[in-house]
Amino acid sequence: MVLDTRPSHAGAGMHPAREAHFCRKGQATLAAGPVPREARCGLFAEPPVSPELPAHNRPTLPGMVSQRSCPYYGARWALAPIPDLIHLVHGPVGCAFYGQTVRSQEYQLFSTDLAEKEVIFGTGEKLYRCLLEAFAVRPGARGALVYVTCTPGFLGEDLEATCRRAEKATGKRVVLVECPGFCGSSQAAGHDIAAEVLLTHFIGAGLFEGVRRTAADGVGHSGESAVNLVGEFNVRGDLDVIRSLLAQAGITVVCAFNADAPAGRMATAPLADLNLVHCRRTGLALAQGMQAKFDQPYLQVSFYGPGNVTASLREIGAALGREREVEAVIAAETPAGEKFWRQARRRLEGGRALLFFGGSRLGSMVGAFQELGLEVVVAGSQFGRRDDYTWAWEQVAPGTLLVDDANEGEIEFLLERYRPHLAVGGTKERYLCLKSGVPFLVFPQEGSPYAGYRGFTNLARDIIKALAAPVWRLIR
Amino acid sequence: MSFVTLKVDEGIAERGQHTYITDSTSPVLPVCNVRTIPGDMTERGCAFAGCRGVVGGPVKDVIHLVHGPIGCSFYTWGSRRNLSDNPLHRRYCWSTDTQEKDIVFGGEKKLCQAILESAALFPEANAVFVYATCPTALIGDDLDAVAKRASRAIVKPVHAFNAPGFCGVSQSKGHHIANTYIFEHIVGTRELEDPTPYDVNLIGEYNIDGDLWVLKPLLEDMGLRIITAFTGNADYDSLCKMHCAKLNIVHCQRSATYIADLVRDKYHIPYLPVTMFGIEETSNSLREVAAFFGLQERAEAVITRELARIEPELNFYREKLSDKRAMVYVGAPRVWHWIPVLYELGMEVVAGATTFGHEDDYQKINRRAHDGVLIIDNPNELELEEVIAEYRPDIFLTGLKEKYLSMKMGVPSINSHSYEDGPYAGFTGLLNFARDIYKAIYSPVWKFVEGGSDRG
Amino acid sequence: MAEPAQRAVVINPAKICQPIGAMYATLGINQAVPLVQGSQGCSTYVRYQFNRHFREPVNIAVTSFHEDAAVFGGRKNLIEGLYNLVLRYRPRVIGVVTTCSSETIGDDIETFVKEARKEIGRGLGEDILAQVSIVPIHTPSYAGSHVKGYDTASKAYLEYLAAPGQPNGRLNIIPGIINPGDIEEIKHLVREMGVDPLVIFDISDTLNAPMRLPKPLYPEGGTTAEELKDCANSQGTVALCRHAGGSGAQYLLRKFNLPAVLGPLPVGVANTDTFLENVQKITGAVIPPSVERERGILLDHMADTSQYTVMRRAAIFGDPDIVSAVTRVVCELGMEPVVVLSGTASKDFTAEVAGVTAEYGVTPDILSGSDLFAFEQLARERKAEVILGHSKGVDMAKDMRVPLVRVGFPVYDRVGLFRRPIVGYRGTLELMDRIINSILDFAYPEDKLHQ
Repeated sequence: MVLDTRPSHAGAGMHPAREAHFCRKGQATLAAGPVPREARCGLFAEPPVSPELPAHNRPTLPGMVSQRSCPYYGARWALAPIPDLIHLVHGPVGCAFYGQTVRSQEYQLFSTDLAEKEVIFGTGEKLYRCLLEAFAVRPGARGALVYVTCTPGFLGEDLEATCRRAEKATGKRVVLVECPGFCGSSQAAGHDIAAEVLLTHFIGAGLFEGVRRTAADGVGHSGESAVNLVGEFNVRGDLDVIRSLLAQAGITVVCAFNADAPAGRMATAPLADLNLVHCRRTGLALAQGMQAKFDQPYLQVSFYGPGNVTASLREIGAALGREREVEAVIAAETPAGEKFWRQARRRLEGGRALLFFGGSRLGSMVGAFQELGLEVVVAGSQFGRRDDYTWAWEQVAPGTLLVDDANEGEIEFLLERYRPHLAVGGTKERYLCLKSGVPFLVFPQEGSPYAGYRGFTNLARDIIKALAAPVWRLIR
Repeated sequence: MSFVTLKVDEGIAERGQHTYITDSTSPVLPVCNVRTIPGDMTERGCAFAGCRGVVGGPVKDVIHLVHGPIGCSFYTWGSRRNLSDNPLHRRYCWSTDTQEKDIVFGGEKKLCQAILESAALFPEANAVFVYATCPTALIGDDLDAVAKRASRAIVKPVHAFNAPGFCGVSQSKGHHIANTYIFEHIVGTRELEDPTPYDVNLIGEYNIDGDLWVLKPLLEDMGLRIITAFTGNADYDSLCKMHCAKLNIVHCQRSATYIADLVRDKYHIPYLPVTMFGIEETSNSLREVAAFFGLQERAEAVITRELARIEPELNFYREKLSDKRAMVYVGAPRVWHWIPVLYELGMEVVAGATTFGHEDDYQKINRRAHDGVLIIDNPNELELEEVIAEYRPDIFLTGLKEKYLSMKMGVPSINSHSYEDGPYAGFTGLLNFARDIYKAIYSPVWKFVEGGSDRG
Repeated sequence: MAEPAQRAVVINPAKICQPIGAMYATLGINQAVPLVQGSQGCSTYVRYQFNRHFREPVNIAVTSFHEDAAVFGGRKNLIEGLYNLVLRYRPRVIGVVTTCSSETIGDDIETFVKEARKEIGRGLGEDILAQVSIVPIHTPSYAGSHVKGYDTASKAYLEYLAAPGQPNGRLNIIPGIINPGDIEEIKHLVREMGVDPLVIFDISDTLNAPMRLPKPLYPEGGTTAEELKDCANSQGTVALCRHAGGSGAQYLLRKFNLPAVLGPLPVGVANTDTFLENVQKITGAVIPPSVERERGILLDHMADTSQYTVMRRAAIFGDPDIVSAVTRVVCELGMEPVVVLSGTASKDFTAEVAGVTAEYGVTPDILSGSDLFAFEQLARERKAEVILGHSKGVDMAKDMRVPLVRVGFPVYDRVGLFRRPIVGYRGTLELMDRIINSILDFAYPEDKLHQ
């Protein structure tokens, strides 16, 4: 669709190539059918699958102030929490410096700190030396992940051979994560690369190829069901909340990819009864891969907002034959917050919200905002795929604008056009929105868990706090 | 004749004979312990300060209730660093906050009420010390009578210290009043249950920045038991039992020799004046104390052990401080306590002064200082400014008020009343003392001050 | 609202007595010396307070009361004292600050000063006498507090010195007991509006003096005796603190018909808006874009950090004007003041704070003229998460395990705060940074802050 995206003060109109990325939900229904698997790296533009959805998974238009990042960023996003592996970034030091911090947590990260000399004469020797040194520093590590960044990515050396040599020397697994920044249109490519690395080298490692899962042997306690969470990163304790909900229903979490998935434990992940996909963007590909490889079923869930939580718990209960237990959990957990939720809803009812997420939260969280009485007027994602947009589309009211890969200028325009009461997004959007006089809620959240029933209370409180700041009344 | 007149004192006859230069062949004593002339930028405090701040204040488990306008209690709230191990102490500040109507109609009733309330709110306190101030003394409030009445009501001792600011010529008067009062009303009111032949009191030790806590182990390691310090970290009960000691060891001989004399006269307990600063003085003091008890061998062991511990680090400071010129101006005794310490560190003393020294303080200064040192009794801001400008010492050891004057003139200084990072007493303290002087002198800031010290 | 403690005993006072306030004002006058008519402690203790807060040498003289003064009165002390002070220091202004003792004795200060002037004229010559103004300031320690002492001094100096002449086009500012950094900031704002400020009691240089040798006898700066005379000819007067300096502004209004504005202390967005509007009303100057920009930067930062402040419970203590302004800031940040204490009793304080907090729908316990012991109990009951006040709050903050944001006088356990403003838009920014960083330093996991 064509919008005049000129903010009132400056700027050209919308670039023609961006038109297809904006789409207002109409009355029509989406064409039904299986979700096609999309090309991994999105190097080439694909036509929109349906005119009802915005164009997506395309390279960003050069020269835009893009909110997107690179595949290395995506790989770090997914893999950083794995505790028992060495994480070594092969490249100039900058990528390692930035990559230490993921979702505002600090992780130990090694770097080969490539200099001009190595770029000219070859980087393999330095990588080898760094690997040995890293294992000397952390003798307990089970293996190493070597992130290949742009520079070695361009050089085209045989780093595989170097890794094998290091494996021989150390007796530990050394795996390349080939995620140079140029290899995809956004960090989403990195998520997929990370999933492939885990699937190929770690998940079920040591089990017989093609083994069929028969029962939760050796995982969970007797009489309990066992699941893996896929695409869950325990931001501010989200996982702890989810784990406690499941535990009350007699369901054990074997691995949470990747908040709580040491390489050592990943080997047993295929023994779980079911995979629960929370973040689809980082988790769906992995769950699909595990289904193909280990015949392990998966379920797409959301733990954001009481509606989603209850529905997801029921689906999980049904899939595992634990309907009764699940109903007990729902009955026990919901009353505590209900009074506050009603108050919060009364306070927020009718407010307009503008959401900018990475990908999956578009679908998994939109309901939570709606349950608080907020009207979602714009739902945007940086790198959402068809299923993300579809999920959101199904939930939002007609007239809602769906936006793909909105850049800074477009966001500014949307803020001006819609004058929302609340904007939601990441740090990059945060200060732009605040400066435009719009209260803001940041993701990943900084305070407390948002998942589960308890998390919903936190979410509501944080939104109220953001709107209540008296500064909004002092602006002239 | 070694009296001198500073330039700023020309035309002020009263300041004659307060300033002199030491000369061992014909020693003189200045006019001292006399009133300050009005209009002076004096460094002196008042009798209330000496009584409440110095002697009474360190007692840790009593309510220190100031009967007067709010300022007198506010100013004495935690401002002197007489540390203790009691959470009640220095954390709270009690005042009757005298108002105009109390001045007109008398403040006794309010005082009595205040004592009862404080005792009820702080049941952990073991006694109440009430301090008079100028206006409540001027209107004639009878603190003793109120104290008696209140004591019966709360069934705890209540003591009235009548040292309003205007009495005497300096805080020294307040020390004396507090000494006498404590001796007459507190000492001897309880008996020590388990006396030993090695019981001592450490008199005139106020635990400034933990001085007591480094001195106490030295004496204990020699086999002595300290009943109480007078009054650093002292509790009320142990002050009552002071008279059960076999020997009183007197450190600050200005503010506390009074009570040592009184205890000797009434209870026939001898006392020994000591200096517990610096290696030589501390060692000699320990030896003298040990000789009294026949514990010489143990004293030697303690001294040997301590020396071995501090010597290596101390040598570094000795080298750095060698030949540095110092000026030292504090209350009184620390001037003569510290002159030998400064010599021991290889430093030179160019000038000294006391705020409220008596003749015996100046006698001791004359004994300990080399010839040619300028000594001033009760200097004021202007005189200090002249002397600093004239002598430009490498370090000025003095109190907080004078410290900022000195620094503004480009001369390094350390707070010698409450210390920078003490304790300064004993062997361990000497290291701190030397280190703080070193830090002050060698701070790179002086390199940037044109005409400043920069002798680092 | 909790009533002020109905106790006779004051435990942990949040006020000091009158004389120090008068000395605070006097030290803002060029080549002036306060001469305390009282015991030596009355000058020595005060000097310690100033030394600790400003880390500066401070010249305060005393007439050294002893027993004879208590019996016969302080006449001899004052006359001798004034003589000696002029002989040695040649000050331009001497503020004779009385104390509880001299007021209890009933010294006739005005007569003594006249006699002293005769003595000085006789002994040192009329030229020298003509150079010095001697101003009696009656500050009985048993009435009011340091805040009142400053207020009393503000009126005394103007009564003695202000004299009509040609209009000078300037704007009088009486700062109150605020810091050198605050005064700098006020001067900056007024100058940005193209108005020439005449700060009465300007401690911005005298209590923040450079180290430059040789050290002058008096620090540079301060309000000159000529300016104190000339302030009767300004366009009007703003007393930033109603309780400390308001009387001076009112005197100029009554006597010389100068428009007078009393408070509020311009801390926070609304109060600074009000201050600038008042300057505009008096002088006709307009608020320039440069100042609007400062306002915008403040708001931008308030928006950026509101997650750290909104709904956080604060307890505030100190002097009435500062506390009431800081309470407003705390509200503007979305925080919830739960206990608000003015150590100095004030008729208007409770209503003023109640008005501010009502605007924001919060209901703190408001204490006027109570002490920190009562304050601490309420702060604990109402679970304050941050305390704002001067250094006397440090023990309770430690025991309660909450941060202490240091504001007011005295602050002796942190360095440099006297140099930094809390007034104006930029000062408010400094204050809110201080508040937020204290909260973050104290109990905020570092990993929440990387976003």
